[in-house]
Amino acid sequence: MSEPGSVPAGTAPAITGEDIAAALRRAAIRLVGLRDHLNRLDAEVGDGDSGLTAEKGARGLLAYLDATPPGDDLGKWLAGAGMAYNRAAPSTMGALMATAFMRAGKTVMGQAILSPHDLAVMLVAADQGLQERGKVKPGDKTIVDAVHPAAEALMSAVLAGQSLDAGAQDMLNAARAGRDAAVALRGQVGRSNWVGERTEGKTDPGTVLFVSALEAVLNAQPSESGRAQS
Amino acid sequence: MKKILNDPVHFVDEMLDGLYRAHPDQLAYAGDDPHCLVRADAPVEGKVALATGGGSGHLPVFLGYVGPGMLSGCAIGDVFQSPSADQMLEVTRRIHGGRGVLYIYGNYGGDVMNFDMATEMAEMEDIEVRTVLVRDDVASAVTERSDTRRGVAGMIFAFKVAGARADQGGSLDDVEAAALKALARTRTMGVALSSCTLPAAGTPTFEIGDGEMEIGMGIHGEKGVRRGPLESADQIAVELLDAVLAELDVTSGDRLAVMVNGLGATPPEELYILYRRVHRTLEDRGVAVHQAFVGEYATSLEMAGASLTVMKLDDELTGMLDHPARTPFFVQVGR
Repeated sequence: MSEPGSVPAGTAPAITGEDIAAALRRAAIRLVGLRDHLNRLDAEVGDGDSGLTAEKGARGLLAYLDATPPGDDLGKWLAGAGMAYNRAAPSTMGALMATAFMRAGKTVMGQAILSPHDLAVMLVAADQGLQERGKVKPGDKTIVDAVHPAAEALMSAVLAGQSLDAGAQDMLNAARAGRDAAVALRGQVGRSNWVGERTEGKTDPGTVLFVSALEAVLNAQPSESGRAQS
Repeated sequence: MKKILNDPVHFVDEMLDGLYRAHPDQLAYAGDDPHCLVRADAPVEGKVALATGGGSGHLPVFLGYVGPGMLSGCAIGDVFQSPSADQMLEVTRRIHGGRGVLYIYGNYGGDVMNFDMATEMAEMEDIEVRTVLVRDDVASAVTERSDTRRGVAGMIFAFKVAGARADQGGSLDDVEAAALKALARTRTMGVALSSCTLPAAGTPTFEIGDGEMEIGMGIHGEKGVRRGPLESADQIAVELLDAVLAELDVTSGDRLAVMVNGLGATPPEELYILYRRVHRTLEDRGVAVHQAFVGEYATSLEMAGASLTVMKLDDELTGMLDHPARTPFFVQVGR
């Protein structure tokens, strides 16, 4: 708690802008390193550039983090982070990521400190934004297959009064399970829809991107999915 | 591959730099970003503003239609890539003349997402934005799924008609309605004889055999409806014409605007040979051509081939088509 005076005593732990910035930095660095892996996964189901796009977007995000301190309105600052990602990578995935940031940011406009409940609300809003913007739903074999269960898990944990650490672990487990469950699915949208049944048994790069970013955010051990392929 | 280039990485930036230098009285850019292109006198106060956007590689689409009587601004991405949402927002801010902004652009996933996001951001700044998606390419989906079709050269008729309505002082509702009406009566289909080559890739995007053609191919090389041996200009013209007229209920006594558009590597001579058969076939059916557009209006780098676009006119659309316009690539003298 960097500003203990601003939070009533006895409430849940406060998350500061610096905490969020540090977490986003870890996620962005992780995405840069994932470039070749994501490209390989995408070559199987799409047009093979999702690693390049992720790297470009993540570098845009890193530049934003370097140039822009969180300040006292985390909502605006997060929307700005999304725009930086999108500007660096104005692809479909770039637009989706920016939407997720923007929708998450909208829920905490004007706030400088976040509660675990805020985090859960942000993730739910990001999930809804992804579904609306991408015109997809869980089961379509997209990033949403990892984001949606993660958002639900974090929200349930927070509402049940669990600790943030426990909620975070639930969230990560749910995201990993969503990623692994999506392997067997057939792609329904975008380029992977044209490829049709060839996507069955293949790992969706969007789910890997989200789980990897989440692992970096939580300082968790990196995991590999796609066991269903072997 | 041979192209006139410096570094392929700078293909779009150098193209834009040349364009601004060639047309300094007509074009400017917003927010220090040459990808955010606006007409030099933007914003025009008291009039609805029109914007489009999309990837580079299709000149004169999209930015070539920015000017009085047509578009107010355009966001330009890299070759075949969407511009970003904040580039679109930057254009939107710069062209807004107080009466709202209409986006008219082709139905492509990345563009749709970025423009939807720009809409959301513009509304947070109290700029009213509406969107009309261009889906004129009949080859890209069957009639029952026409809402999933992609946008190609037919968007120029929508720019022209909506631009005229905005110039005449129409409200955002009026301008949107004009664009929708134009598009409801506009259909396009194309044929490709060769691939395009992206400057950064350096090799053709796909292969079409020496004696082959592909009917219905998209402007990024999306699969067409039929590949076969190259046919005569007359045979191609009739196939394209039949396909676009099939959904327009065109009968004797109707008047059309007709566009025969080169995809980048087809000489105007060949386009006029195509146009000849289109015109004669229409004439035989008692259908008049109000105005013909033969040339390069929406290209795909150096792809060989052509597209045919038809807009079925009524008095209102005819008046808006005839309204004067002036852009670096398109001039309509009032008639």
